[in-house]
Order: sequence, then structure tokens, then C-alpha cells
Amino acid sequence: MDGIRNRVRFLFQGMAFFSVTRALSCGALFLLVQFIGPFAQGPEALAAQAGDGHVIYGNRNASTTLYNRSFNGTTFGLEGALLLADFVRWTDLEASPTDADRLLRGVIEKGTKAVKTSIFDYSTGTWTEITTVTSSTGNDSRRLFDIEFEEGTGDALIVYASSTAGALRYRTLSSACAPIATCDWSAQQTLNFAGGTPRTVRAARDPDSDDVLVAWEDSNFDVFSALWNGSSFGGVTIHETNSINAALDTSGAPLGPKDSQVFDLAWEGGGSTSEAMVAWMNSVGVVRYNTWTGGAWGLSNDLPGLSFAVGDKAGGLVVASTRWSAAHSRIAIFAGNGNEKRIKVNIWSGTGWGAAELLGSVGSDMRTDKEGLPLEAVWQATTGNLFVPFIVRQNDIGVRLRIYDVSSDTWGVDQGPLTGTDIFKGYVRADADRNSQAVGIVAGDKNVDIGTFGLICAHPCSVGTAAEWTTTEINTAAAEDKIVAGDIVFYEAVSPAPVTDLTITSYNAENVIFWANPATPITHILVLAKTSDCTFGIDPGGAEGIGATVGNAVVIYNNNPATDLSSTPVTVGGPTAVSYTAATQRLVHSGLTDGTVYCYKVYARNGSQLDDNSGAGRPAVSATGTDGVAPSAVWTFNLVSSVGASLVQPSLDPGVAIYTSYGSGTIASIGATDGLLSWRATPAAGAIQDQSAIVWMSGSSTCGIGGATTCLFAASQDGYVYARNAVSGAGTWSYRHAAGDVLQGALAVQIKDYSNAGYMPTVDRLFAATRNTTTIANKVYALDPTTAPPTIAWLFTGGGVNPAMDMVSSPPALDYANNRLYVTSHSNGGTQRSLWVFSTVDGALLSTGASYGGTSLGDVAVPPALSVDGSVVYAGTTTGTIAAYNTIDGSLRWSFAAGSAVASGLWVEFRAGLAGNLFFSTANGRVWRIRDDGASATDIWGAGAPTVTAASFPVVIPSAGKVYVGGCSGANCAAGSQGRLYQLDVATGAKEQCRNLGANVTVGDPAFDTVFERLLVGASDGKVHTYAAPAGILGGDPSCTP
Amino acid sequence: MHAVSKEGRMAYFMLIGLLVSGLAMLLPGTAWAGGGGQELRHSGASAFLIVAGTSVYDQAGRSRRSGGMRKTLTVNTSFSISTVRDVYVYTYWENLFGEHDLIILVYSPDGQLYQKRVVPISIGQLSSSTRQVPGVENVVDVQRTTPLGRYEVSTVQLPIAGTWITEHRLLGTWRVDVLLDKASAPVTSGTFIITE
Repeated sequence: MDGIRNRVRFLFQGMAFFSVTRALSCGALFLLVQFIGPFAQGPEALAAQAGDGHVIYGNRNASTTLYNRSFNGTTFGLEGALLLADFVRWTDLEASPTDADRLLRGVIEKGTKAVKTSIFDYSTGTWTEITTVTSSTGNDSRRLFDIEFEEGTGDALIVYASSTAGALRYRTLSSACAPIATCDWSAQQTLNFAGGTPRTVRAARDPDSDDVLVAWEDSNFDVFSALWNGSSFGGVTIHETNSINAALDTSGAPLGPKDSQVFDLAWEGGGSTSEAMVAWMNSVGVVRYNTWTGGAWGLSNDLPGLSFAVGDKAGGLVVASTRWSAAHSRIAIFAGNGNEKRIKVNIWSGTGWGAAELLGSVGSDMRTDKEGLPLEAVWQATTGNLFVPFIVRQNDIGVRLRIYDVSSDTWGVDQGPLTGTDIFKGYVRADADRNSQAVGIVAGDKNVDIGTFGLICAHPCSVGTAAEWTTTEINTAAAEDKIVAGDIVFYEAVSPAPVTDLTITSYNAENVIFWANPATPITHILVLAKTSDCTFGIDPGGAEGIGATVGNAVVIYNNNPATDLSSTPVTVGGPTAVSYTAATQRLVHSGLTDGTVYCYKVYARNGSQLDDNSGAGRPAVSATGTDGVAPSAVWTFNLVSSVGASLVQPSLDPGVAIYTSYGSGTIASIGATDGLLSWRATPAAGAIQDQSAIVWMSGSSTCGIGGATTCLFAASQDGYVYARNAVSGAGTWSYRHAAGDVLQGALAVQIKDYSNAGYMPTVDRLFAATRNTTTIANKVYALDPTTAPPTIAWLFTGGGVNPAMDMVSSPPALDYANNRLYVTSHSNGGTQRSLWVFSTVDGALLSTGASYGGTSLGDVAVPPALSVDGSVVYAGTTTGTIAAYNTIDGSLRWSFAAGSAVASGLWVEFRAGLAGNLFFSTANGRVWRIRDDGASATDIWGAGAPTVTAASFPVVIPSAGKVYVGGCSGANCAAGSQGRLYQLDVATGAKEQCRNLGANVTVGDPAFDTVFERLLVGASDGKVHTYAAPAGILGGDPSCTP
Repeated sequence: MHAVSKEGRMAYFMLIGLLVSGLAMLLPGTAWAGGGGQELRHSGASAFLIVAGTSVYDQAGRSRRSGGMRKTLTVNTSFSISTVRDVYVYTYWENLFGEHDLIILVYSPDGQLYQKRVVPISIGQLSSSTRQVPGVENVVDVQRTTPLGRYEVSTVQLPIAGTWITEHRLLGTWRVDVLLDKASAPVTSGTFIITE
């Protein structure tokens, strides 16, 4: 840690702020504490993240030490060291694709020429030396071993030479061994072939299977390959007799590079075809290749553009490092020409080979004559672009970079140098993170004043400048110039992403926990549970068994849900038990005590690494079986708390589904029967505070999302209208009229099938109105929603030639009989119209002059309400007036003074016995029932009207003679109060019963499912509760006094 | 209560010569701010926030018409539910560069998370007007911060009038936490009060 400086800043009213150098505490002041300085880079953080990796390297002067460092996106960690008996020569470093903790490395030691290997455990940050796989490869200047992991199992294979003709040695290392430090290679095995001693060896794994292709050149300069199928090698194939290394020039000198490979191999990535390629340079300078199609090798082909003039010296050959671009099916082959001093590359574009490209400036002396190609080629995971760092041997400086843009199939120009001003003569190795856009390079230089550099780029990495690349001299001693004495990898199996869609549905004595596994690989899901509160102590290590205690919690599940097919309940302490049902991906925690709060934390786990949300930000979800008061809730649905409040009145497909939305822009579909999550999505960046419209589209039309005919339409504070398949949750489109728009109220939908002949449009229509910051230029518009994106049918904008329109914060109301749209708005301080009438057909403004209150009605923050026959429209103002207008001419029918701002919507009852009654709540907490008597309104409940703190929109059940309203105890719904649901007598307004829905919550607007006869209500803690039966629905909670 | 009339702030406006979207960027020191935290991934970055609100209309008659807008921006810790229209959270950043995601967590007086907003910001050159943010399907407008002295200021609007806040009378002390990118701890926090 490079010195953290503390700086404390004070701010308080009316005074400037200043800084001091030590922390102070002063009750009257507000403190802002900020640590300033380089962040503390722990080389072994809790878990590897995307962009994290590891580098190994040797040096020439300090000699016999193999060094290592971890790095993240911006910084290298501390240097570790392994003392060898001699200099570091060829190295290889590989990351397990399945175990986030596991790396393997190998190094040929000069002198002995032995291959020494080590295994790294991320969880302990420790390299452990394991078996020296061979005491002598016979050479220390060439790649005579290679390590590769199997993609699926994570088992490792090492192939190597041992100075024995016709024998390729190999060993395996199981991924199942644990702990990692105890893992080691199997006994040596031999793949025999008819040839000399292996001269160079390469291995590459199939990204879609456990196959590993191994290729090698022997001392006779013949090129071979064999396929490892995860268990054994198949037959040996000879691809070439006499590579370029067998050729001599007229003076008798070899044409091939002294020590570099003249062949390479790669697999096609990202598909299921399991195709691979081996390429090599033959004795007359022609680059050829064979393709493995999953069952056999094809015929050899010449690669156009890379062949040399006969007699030219050859450099090495590289086939796009290790794999084809998964996204774009590209493969690159690089070949060096010692006479031209250039590197040529050709890329397979999916349909054929392109034109050869030259790397390096004309006249430069590319190092291709002896040691092979000083380049690496890696495909960036996020873009598919090919990154080629390379070293120009003479007359140029630093590590250069070329990027191939796969989207346009074009090469960029030479960029760099990335490493300062010195001339580089050493090696370069690179890797591209498969989990991010990061690219890493390690490069060594032979100069005495400069050593080994690590270069990492966590950004788009599109330019070869220090602006994007972090370049660090990680070792100051010079590197060997012809030996690849360093390597770099990104962790492939990084810590998993957290689970998503975490929900709990509570029943009597039982909670059902549901989550969606992350897309990143996992080996386990671990669930902690505790009672009383959601303050968890420590995070688990990961290996704890079911029933184990972790801090103040108990592990109730720790298994791989993909393979856990057992639904047998497991006792986890006391009377509780868990069972996991793979078919529904749900964990049932049963035997609970109603009224007790149970809290859960769910971790995704990959090996020993827990997901990267294991800190304070991890969501903990609380639930009670039920509250223990009969009749209890049928179920309580609890979406993870970080999605925000759900005070919206749930939208219903009665008896089928319930739709609710949250302050985070999330929408959830819940099964009406069981309260389990059907689907969840967060389409919006702003809150969705009003109901989603569920629409069965007219005729055979869809909402432009596949074939969806049952569609959900939602409006968000981010200004967008969102559409979705209401049944599956799949697909979406969005529409925003203009940047800066805010939509607060729900959308109104006119259904063509239910409209009369006066409705001219051929499809259904959506109507939206804006709550923008302007006080004059808000908008109302109509959308035809049958296409994606939808088309705008008409638009009204306040101001200009139109009357000014203040913000609209509630949904419009539709009059089907007259094809009219009613909109209420604020009034810019009582100076503008606030009740608007439009034609739904063409948007014509029908409220003019003094009709519908003209400019005198005042601010209206709640939606307009229509009588069942459409003859009367009602509006409730923020000054407490209910105004009724005759829709035939906009004249005032009557006005009623409620005395306090109308806070909830108006419910105009139409059912027998209560027709013509209006129910609403005002800001002072009073719940009202008034009756429209034609020329006036009558306060039915009068002095008996109830008062409920933060009274919600009331829901009326005439058949039961009840009214239900949400609210809370105390003077307001601040911390310490109880969220409550009240039952009122519809005749008198008297509070009959109440039920506590939890401390420190605010209760939203109730809804009633007429099929199941269930009351549903959301709350500020994100839960949705449901109670059965209209009569006595609350049961008389003894803890709640009405 | 510490209200600053628009005329009263003009000296500041003239001093800093800055108007943003019709709303004044506020100098620190004129208002309340509080809280703080450490952000590991962003070396040296610091932040504090200021809360301001616009009234539904200018009851005191102090406002001016500007571009057809008529609002009074009140810098304070306390706002009346009957008059406040929107609350703005200004976050002042120091030593922060490039593109980031702000996570704005707004907690209602009952202590529950009322709203979560992810706001992409760009300090310096704006590379694109919209981009994806974690956890949100739709692209989100990138907010280019406004330079103010050595600070870069980001703004988040919290609608009040006509929302759940007025319908459910969510009165009391509100808390705002500002997080940066993947950090789990707030960079800065603050509170404000909504009164009757």
C-alpha cells in the first residue's frame, strides 16, 4: 500500500468548507471522510474478478528465480519468487476454466533442462511446487512442454519431451483433488510415434469439449498431431515430412528459425463443431494447413499470401495464438520471413482467406531470422477484435500493437510503443480475458537498463497509448532475448456473478426461496438462514455443510442446483427442513414457526469463491412463514429488497397473475394461485409508480413482440413506455417521445374490440401524458402499439398555439362511449387548465373556454374518474375540492369541499347498492364516501368517517359490505410505525379491524382478485401480501387495534 | 430552515457564471451536506451532495420566468409536501474522471428503500449519449457532469408532487446514498426532510 492519506472535509450551513489532515468529531458539524490515495491493491483479494490475472517471469541477471505477480484491471500486486537451481527458460502459465482458484505453471530450468511445475491456489495466494515432470527435455531453448486444461472437466494435461526418440510424454492432473496444494500430476505416460525426439510441443483445448489437440515437430523436422479426448490419445497423424527447418540455403545454412516453432494449432471457438487446425511451413516456404472436422483430418491446403520465395529464410509461425474468435469465426496465421524482415498475416474471414497483411515498418529488422516470431495474437472477448502485440528487433522501440477490427475486417496501423523509449529485443506474450474486454501483455527486454514489463488494459484498449494501457516495469533485470521466459493469463473461472431474481414466498410454516443462477459458471449455491433480523455476521467460507453454523446463521443449502435432483427434505436444525426441487428451481424451508422472522442470504459459489457481491451490498431477504395470526395470509411475496418500494396497486389478471412494479423500474409477474415468481424484468432506469396495463390485444394483432397477444404496457419516470409479453415476460420494446420526458401516471389503453364505430383506428391505442419539469409544455400523446417500436398517432403539446399544460402525474381516463380521453394536471399556480378532454381518435382538444373548470379548478394530482355511463367526470384537487362536470358540455354539476388535498384516486362505485358513491382519501388521513345526488354530493359517513394515517386508495367490496385501505400507525409512516391494512364498514365507515403488515413499512394501494376473492396489497418493503375471503379478511389481529 | 431565494443566489451565479438546464448549480457551503465513504476502485475520488427542491409554484412571488419555466429552487434540508415539486440531488465530485455509473439509493422515512436509480455519468468528453447500465435492460441517458471550480457536478431528479410521496404522505427524514460503480458502500450520503 503506497501510503493512504486521510482528508476530512467539513461542511455546514452558511460556511465554506475546508480541509484538515486528521479526523475530528463535532456534533454540530457534518463530516465527510474520504481516503485519498492509491487504492490498496491486495494481490489476492477475496475473489478473482473479471479482469484479474497473474503473470510469471524470469530474468537473466538475477537469474535463478521464477517470479510471479497477480494483477487487477489497473495494478500489479507484490512480487512472489520461486528459487530454481538455474536460469528460467521456457515458461507456460495456464488458468483453469472451471476452478476459479487454480493456476498451473511450468518452467524449463537451464542446465538440468528439467520441467518444473507448480500449482496456485487463489484462496490462499500460494504457489506449491509439484512434481518435476521430467528431469530433462534435452533442450532448454525451445518450447518442449505445454500445459492445457480440459474445458469441461478442468482436468489438466501436460505434454513434454524427455530426450527419447518416438516418445511424447504426458501426465494428467485431476480437477477433483482438494485442497489444491495437495494436487499433483499422475504418473508419466507415453504416446509412442514413429519419429525422432520431440523438438517443439504445442497443445490447445477445444472450447466446446474436453478434447485437447497436441502437435509437435520432431528432430527429423516432421510435424505430428494427436487428439486427447479427455481420457486417452487417439492415433498420431503426420502432417508434414520435412518442415522448413529441414531446408538449407545455398551455403548450407538452415532456412528455418533456430529454435522457434514452425507450426501451430487452434480450435474453432464458440460452436459445437469442434473443428481444429494445424498449420506449418514446409520445406519450400509454403504455409500449409489441415483442418480437423471432428472425426478426421482434411487434405492439406496451401495458405495464400504467406508463402516465401524459395530460399528465403523463415521466421516462426503462429496460428492466432490459441483459438478462433467465437463471435466472428476468424482465424489468423502469422508467418515470419527472414529475408524480408517482415511478418505476414492472413485471416480466414469465415468464407475465405483475405489478402496478406504485413506487420512492421518497411526497412525495419523484424526479428524473424532465428528465434521466431516475437508476437502474440489474442482475440478480445467483448469485441472479437484481434490484438497483436509484437516486438521489432532493431531500429525501433518498445512493444508495438496492431489491432484487427473484426467488424470491418480491416487492420489498424502500427501503434505504440507501449513500453517507453527503449529498444526491445525480448519476448512478448499476451492473453485476452474471456470475462471482460481486458487484454494483458508481458514483454521482456534484453537491455541491461530495462527488464520485464507487464501491460494491462481494462478499457476498450483500442489505441496503443498510455491513455488506456497500464504499463509497469515489473522486474528491472534484463530478460533473455530468445526465450519466452514469461507468461500472462487472466483467471478464466472468475468468481461467479450473484444470483438474480431472489424471491421468497411465505406460506403457513413454510418459505419457498427462488433464485435464478448467474450466467457465469457455478459449482454450488449456498444459502444461509437466521431468525429475528437480517443482520448477518460473517460470510461463509464456502465449504460448510448443511446445518453448519456460520457466524449467527446456519447453512441450509450448499449444493449444485444443476445436479441436485433430490427433493428429499434435509433437517437443518430444530424442526425446520429444506428440500430443493430441481424442476421448479425452488428451495422449500419448512417446519417454520409462524410469526417468526426468517432471513436468508444466497451465495453463488464457484469452487471456493463466492460471488462478487459477498460484501455489504449482498441482499438479505426476510420473510415470515406468516404472521401467526389466523386467518393468515394465503401467501406473501417478497422480491429482494434492493428493487425498492412497491406501493403501486397491483394489476390483475384475476385468478391467473398479479403484476407489480417497484421503485427501481422492475416489474414482477406473480402467480395468483401460489404467489411464486413467474417472471421479473427491469426494463426501466426510473421508477414505475403506477399500474401496468395488461391488454388482450384486439383481433389478431400483437404488441410487436413476437406473437404476443397478451401484453403489458408500463410507464416509467425515465420517460419511456415499455411493452412486454405479459405471459412469458419475454421481449420488450420501449418508446420515449423526447429526452427529458418523465412519465408518472399509468397508460390508458383503448381496446378496439370494445370500442364503438366512432373509434376509427384499426388497432388498440395507448395514451400517455408527461410529468415534465416544464409548467407549460407537457404533452399528451397516443401510440399505436402493434409494432416495435410503436408509432405515434397524435401528439398534444402545451404552449404555443395550445393552452399551456402543467405536469400530469396520474393516468388518463377513457370514455369509450364518446371516444374521449380525460387528463388531469397541475395548474401552474392556479393559472392554467387542469382538466383536459381530448378525442381519442385524433387528439382534438375538446375542453375549451370555461368548460371543465377552465383555468379555475386548481392543481389535480389524482386521475380523473368517470361515472359508469360516462356522463360525469370527477376531479379531486390538491386544495380538497371534488368537482363533478357534465361531459355533455363540460358544465359544473356540483362541487364538494373535502377540506384537505385529495391524495388518492377517486373510486366511482357502480355496483348494486352503492352505485353513484365515490370513495377516496385525503391528505389529512380521512377516508371518504360521498354520493353523487345529481345537483350536489352528500357526505355519507359524515362525522363517523375514519381517519387513517397515510390512507391509501380505498378498495370496495360491495358484496361483503367492506372497504379496505392501507396506512400505518402513528402520526406518519416514519421508522417505528406499523404498516397497516384496515377494514372499514361500508355503511358507516367505522374501522372494524386492522392487521399489522410489519414494522417500518408503508402500505400501498390494495386490489381485489375477484376470481380467488383475495385482497392484495404491496408495501414499501417490496412485499406483496394476499388475504383470502372478503368477510373477516383480516381476522382480528390482536396486535392491531383499529 | 435555510432557504435561498433565486435573487439571493444570483451573486453566486454571477460568480460562477453557470446555469444548468434552468437550474442553478449550487456552491458548496450554502447548504447542508453530510456523510461520506470510501471508494476503493477510484483512487482519490471524493464526493459530497447537496439537496435542492423546486416549488410547485412560487407562493412568495420571488421567482422569475426563465425560458417559460417558473420555479423557485430552494436549497435546504426541509421541503413542504404541499409546495415542493421536485427535489434535486447534486453530487459534487472531485478527482473523478471518465465514465462511471452512479447508483442512487433513496430511503423513505420508514427506512425502506424507496427507489434505486442507476445514472451513467461522463466526466470530460461524452463518448455516447446513452449506454447500458448494470441491471437495466433499456439504454440510459448518459449525464455529462457540469464543471464547477474543481468539482464536477451530477444531478438526479427525485419527483415529489403527484408521486407515491404525496399519495402516501411519506413525511419525515429521507436519506440518499450515492454509490459509484460496483462499490457496495456509499461514496457519500445525505438526508432531507419532507414536512406537511
